[in-house]
Amino acid sequence: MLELTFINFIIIISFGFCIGIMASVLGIGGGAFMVPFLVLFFEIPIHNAIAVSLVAIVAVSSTVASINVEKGFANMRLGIILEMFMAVGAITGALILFELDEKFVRSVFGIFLFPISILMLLKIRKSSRKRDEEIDCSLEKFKGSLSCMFYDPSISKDIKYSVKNILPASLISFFGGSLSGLLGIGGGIVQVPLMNLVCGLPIKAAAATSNFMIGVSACAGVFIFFRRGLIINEIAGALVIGIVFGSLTGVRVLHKTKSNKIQAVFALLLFMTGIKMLMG
Amino acid sequence: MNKDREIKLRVKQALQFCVGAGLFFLIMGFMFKFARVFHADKFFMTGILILLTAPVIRVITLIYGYAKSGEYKFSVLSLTVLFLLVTAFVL
Repeated sequence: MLELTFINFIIIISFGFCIGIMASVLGIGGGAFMVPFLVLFFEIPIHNAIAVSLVAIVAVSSTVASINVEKGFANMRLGIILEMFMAVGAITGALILFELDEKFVRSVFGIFLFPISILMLLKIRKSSRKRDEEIDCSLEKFKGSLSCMFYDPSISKDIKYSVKNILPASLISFFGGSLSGLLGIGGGIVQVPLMNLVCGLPIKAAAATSNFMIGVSACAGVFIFFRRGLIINEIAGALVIGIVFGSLTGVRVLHKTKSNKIQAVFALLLFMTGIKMLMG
Repeated sequence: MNKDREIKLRVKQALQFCVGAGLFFLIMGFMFKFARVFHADKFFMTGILILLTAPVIRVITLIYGYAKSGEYKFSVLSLTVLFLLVTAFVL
């Protein structure tokens, strides 16, 4: 087991800072990076790494959501609906973690990511053509309790959008939540493309809403690990400190970055994660 | 609209309080650990526990906020999420 020296403390904080920036901009928890880092770099057993990762995801989600909610980026109502299914999935995932063949789950996960990444790349072109139409949408289109509006400082305009396909999105959220409990990831890697492609949210709103939600699914998963004494407090603590400061920095980047850039980075990230998962 | 802003403000305050308090205990824990003043594990445990309550308190804030503003549908949905979190803790 890792002895937390001052050098290791600095390494973990620095890593957490980088993850915090990336996670807050992309709407993910960063678990897909934290778990391999803790297992490969510090030789921490995978169950402990997943538990520590989930604690860090709660930190990312809470920090970023505290800013994005007030600024109107996160769609809280949609978040509440989807996080309910994510929480059920996270509990299920955490409970079956010890039963299922991890390689099998990783392979399914990896294969699942490829079509999403390609769809997102294709949508970048489409969304840039549709941008004007989205911004100028009429009030007839802009209705329903889930519809939302936010000010995008990168283009200095209000963005209005309507939410669609809640039922399929809820079912896929269950899958995203189960991955959270099973693999120690936030589930944002599923939720952001889901809300962008299926529900029709602009990518910034999708990233912010995902960050709002993943705290609950990670929390549901981490309680199960907590009861089993699998959280390594010192390592989780160091990671949380780095991640909170990284997230605070990342939120400022999110507000200034153009949506297409976030979408392109996310698509690339999905593709790479898919390859990594398949390689085991 | 004002009610919506009030809910958002309450959520923000609840999350900021939990993250801030959790961070305080964690930083104190590392200061004591590296200064070798005394055993710091209780600080780490407290910090992490406070942090883990952040989503729970956020959900409770939403239950109250939506109930107060008459959006009972979202209040009930938030209550379901709270029930799921409690279930996860008990399991």
